[in-house]
Amino acid sequence: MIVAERKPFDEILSMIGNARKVLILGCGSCVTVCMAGGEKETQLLASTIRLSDKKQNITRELRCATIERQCDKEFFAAVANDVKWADIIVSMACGVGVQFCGEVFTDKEVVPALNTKFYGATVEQGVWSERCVGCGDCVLFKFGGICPIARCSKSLLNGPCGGSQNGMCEVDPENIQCGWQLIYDRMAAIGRLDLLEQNQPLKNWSTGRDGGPRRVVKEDATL
Amino acid sequence: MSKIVAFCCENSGHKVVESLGLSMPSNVDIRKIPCTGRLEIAQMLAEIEQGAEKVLVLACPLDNCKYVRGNQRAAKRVAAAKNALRDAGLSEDMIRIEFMSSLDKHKLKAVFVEMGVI
Repeated sequence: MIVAERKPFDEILSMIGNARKVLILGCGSCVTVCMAGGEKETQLLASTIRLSDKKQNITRELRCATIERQCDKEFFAAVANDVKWADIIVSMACGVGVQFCGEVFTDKEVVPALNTKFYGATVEQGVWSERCVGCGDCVLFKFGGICPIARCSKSLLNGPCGGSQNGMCEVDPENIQCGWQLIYDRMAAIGRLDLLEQNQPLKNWSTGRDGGPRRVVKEDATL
Repeated sequence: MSKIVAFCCENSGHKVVESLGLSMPSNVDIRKIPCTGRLEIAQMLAEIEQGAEKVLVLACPLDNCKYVRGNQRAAKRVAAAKNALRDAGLSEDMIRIEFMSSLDKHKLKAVFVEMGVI
C-alpha cells in the first residue's frame, strides 16, 4: 500500500488560509490502513481545527467526508454537493488522490494534508516499512524476494557495500537493516547463493521515474 | 468548579466512581466504556469542543488491563490528544489519564481535588 503521514498542523492551517468553508476529504484505502487519512483522521483534524478556530475567534465551517478511494473518479460523485459548498478541499489522500481530486473538481483548490512516503507494508501495529520503489522492472526473482533497490540505502544491485555492519546499514545503524544482509540470509535459507555469484548488469532505469511520468494501458479493459 | 467528562473503564475507573456513591461530584459527567483502549482521540477532543473544561480518563493500573494493553493504548492516545490540543493553542492539561484499580477511592478523590472538581 501507499504509506503516508499527516503534515504538521500549522502547515495545514496555513494552506487553508482564510477559506471559510472547508471540506476535509478522507480516503478509505491505503491511508486508512496506515492511519493517516481515513475517517478517524479526518475527524481528528476537523476537531483540532475547530478548537484552534474557537481559540482565535475565527468563524469557519467544516465538513468531513471519506470516500472509498480518491484514485478512481466514480467515488467522487458521493461528495459532489459537499465540494460545491466548499471554498477549499483538504484532501487526506496520498499525492495521487490529491491530484486526482483536483482533476475531477477543476474549479476547486485542493490541498494535501498528508506527506506521501512510500510503498510499504505493516511490519507491526503502527509501524510501516518501505518495500518497493515502483521501478517498473521487477528484479525480485534474482534476490530471493528482497528488493535491493528499495531495501538497500544505495540501491546496489551488486552489494553489499562497506557500510554493512552487524546486519545494519551505516545510514542508520539503529533502525535500517542492511538490505544485502537480508538478501544473503534469504538466499542461503533457500539454497540459492549461486545466484549471487552472477554480476548484475547496469539496470535500465527508463522503466522507472527516469523515463518520465508513466502510464499503463490494459487494452482488454479499455472502452 | 470545572465541568469535566470522565471516560471510565468498566473494570476499574467506573467501579471507583460507583464506590464514591453520593459523594461523587455532580459536575463530573461519566462515560462508561468497556476498556480505555477503545477510546478514540477524536472522542476526547469532541468533549472539549462540546464544552467540557477537562477530560479525565480512568484506566486500569499499568500491566493489569483485562484486555492486556488497553490502558497502554489509552495512554498513547491521550498523549496524541494532548498534541492536538497544543496544535490548537490550548493547554495540554485539559486532558489527563490516571491509572487506578477499583479500590482506589482515595486516589480518585485526590485527582478530583487536583483538577479543581471538589
